[in-house]
Amino acid sequence: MNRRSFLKLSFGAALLLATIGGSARFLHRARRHPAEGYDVLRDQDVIFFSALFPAVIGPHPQFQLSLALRSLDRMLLASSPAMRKEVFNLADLATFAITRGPVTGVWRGWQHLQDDQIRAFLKRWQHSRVGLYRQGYQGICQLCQMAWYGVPQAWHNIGYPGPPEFLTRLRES
Amino acid sequence: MNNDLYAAGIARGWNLVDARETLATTYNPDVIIIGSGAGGATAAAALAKAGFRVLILEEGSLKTANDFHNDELKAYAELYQEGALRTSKDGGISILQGRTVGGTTTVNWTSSFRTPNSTLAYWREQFGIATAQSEHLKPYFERVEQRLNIERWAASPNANNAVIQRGCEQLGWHWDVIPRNVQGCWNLGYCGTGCPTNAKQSMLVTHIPEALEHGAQLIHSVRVQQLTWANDQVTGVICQAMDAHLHHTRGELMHLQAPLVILAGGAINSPGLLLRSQTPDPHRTTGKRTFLHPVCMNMAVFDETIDGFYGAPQSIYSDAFNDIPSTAEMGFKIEVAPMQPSIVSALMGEFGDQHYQRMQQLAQSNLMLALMRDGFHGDDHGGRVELRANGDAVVDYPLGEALWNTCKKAFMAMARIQFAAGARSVMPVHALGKACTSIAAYQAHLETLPMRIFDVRLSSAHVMGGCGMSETPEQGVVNLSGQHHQLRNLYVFDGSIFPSSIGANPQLSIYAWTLKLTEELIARLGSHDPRAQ
Repeated sequence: MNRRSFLKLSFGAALLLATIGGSARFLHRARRHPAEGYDVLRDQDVIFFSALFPAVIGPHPQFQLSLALRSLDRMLLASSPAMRKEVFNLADLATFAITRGPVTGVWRGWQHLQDDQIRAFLKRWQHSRVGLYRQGYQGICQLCQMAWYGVPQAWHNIGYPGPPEFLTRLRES
Repeated sequence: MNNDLYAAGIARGWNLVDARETLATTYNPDVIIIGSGAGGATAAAALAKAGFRVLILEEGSLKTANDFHNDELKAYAELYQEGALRTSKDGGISILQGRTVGGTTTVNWTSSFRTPNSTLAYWREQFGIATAQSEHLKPYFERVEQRLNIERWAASPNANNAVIQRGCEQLGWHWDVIPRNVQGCWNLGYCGTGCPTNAKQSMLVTHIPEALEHGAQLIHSVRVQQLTWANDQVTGVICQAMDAHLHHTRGELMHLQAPLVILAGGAINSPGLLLRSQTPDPHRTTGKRTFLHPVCMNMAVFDETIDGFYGAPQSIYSDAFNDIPSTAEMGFKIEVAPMQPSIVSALMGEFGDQHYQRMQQLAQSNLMLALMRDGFHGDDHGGRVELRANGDAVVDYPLGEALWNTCKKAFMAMARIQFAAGARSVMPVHALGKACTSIAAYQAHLETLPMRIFDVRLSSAHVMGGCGMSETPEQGVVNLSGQHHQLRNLYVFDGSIFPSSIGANPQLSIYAWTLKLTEELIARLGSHDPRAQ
């Protein structure tokens, strides 16, 4: 499927794919438990977000994927069952072999993609006429960005000195 | 570093229970209050002082100044509903609400406005709320303002707020100083992650301690699953402890009984509890008319340093556009937001190189908000609270033409202020938004942007309504006393009783209205035995 035919996917087709995505989750049963070292993220979520994180965050010199994934995991743990389900559905739809191609335009496994292919995927969803994809784009970007910029390692390069140091010192005294 | 209010209180005998340790209580309350935020805490203090045995139930945990480390992600996870990732049902609007002892007041940005006269007039005319008179409410506002030390911010605004002042001054538009509920504020800028110095006069450090000092019991980390009721009386609540990290409930259900129940879980959760309890609702009003005071935003970049992550987060506002228009569009209040990096990163737009470049300008950026006052037009019914399959409450909030038209106006108004204040570039917070270097370029860019769900980044921190006050049962959920139209000993005292958005930051409205309704309730009860009602 090329970019043009991808964009032609109607909202009805998107809904159909969402339904298939539900089935995908069912078929994915073996992979519904958290991956080792995580409270929420499952194997397919780790694969999906490992591919997306560097593309979303861009050339931040201190970026550390493991830190970012753990931060995202903690955010999702504190969120609601409804939010976790949305993220799971998205990751299932985007990683399950049958739905991945039609939904994301990504025909090979996420592990094997080049940066420019991932950027192209994000651009397609960002500019899609289908609300479901734009929601997916927004969700992916906002979760990755909040997770990374919430950790102190991210701050130095963006000119945020962090909370005033004297507060920490006072607290410890 | 602080004199820990709560450690000292417990040593003096405050009755505080962590439901994760035990839910067994031998306390025999006159009144159960569900929720410890602006409404619940204010009612609890007034009732406890009048001699009632008050039991407060709070789903969040007790976190105090010593737990507040100015750490965004820790605060979002521990102190906010759904880890600060709550949204409207279709995901179109992000919703920030607190969930902790003190409710949203523990994490809000301290802006304290009286209910605007235009709002009171609308409530009188449309909902028969004859008591919505500024003269009638004045003594309650004055007392709350005194108690919570609410005063116009006397220090200089931080550079982020000064943008409104400078821009409006240039344009000849209205601006003014925001009154704040702080005492000895250190001007740090971390109100949203919990005040680390106890300067913010939130419920956590004012009305809750006052209630505890007068013998109230507070059980936290407990979720009320249902109200129990029969005929026209509520009989008690069924509740369950939360797990260690407040993610799920667990353990046995506990039935607590009292002759009087006050619901103060805040908009969304209060109507949600009524729906879960299947309380009588002959006119299908429960959860309807929920308003979000939705916000659209502009990001500007300046040559000079703004450091919007430091300093009192909100100290200047503009009401140049906050009247109720005669058209279907909404008025909007203009303020700024604090600019800590995690939350701002989600609003910078784009990804990869572009996002990183924008983040590198964080310290020179200014994030302006337009808060659109919903619920002031005959066709604007706001959203509706409903239940998810697991019983969680969610608000279904349709995004209509009037909202998008208001967004366009608000984007332009904010851009004018930001350029007039000297911005180098201004960008609408939109999935396709680009930085523009002149007002003409901005206007042309705006015309190319689709005004539609997910593209326009909307958020809300002021959820109101869903249990609206009304003279007649056909129009609302509670009467002018806050009493449920069908259940005589059930009262709702929180932001959910307002029949529209406030048109301003709501905390002071919730305090003053709750104080008034609670004192009127106490006067009606006469004796200290609500059973004699």
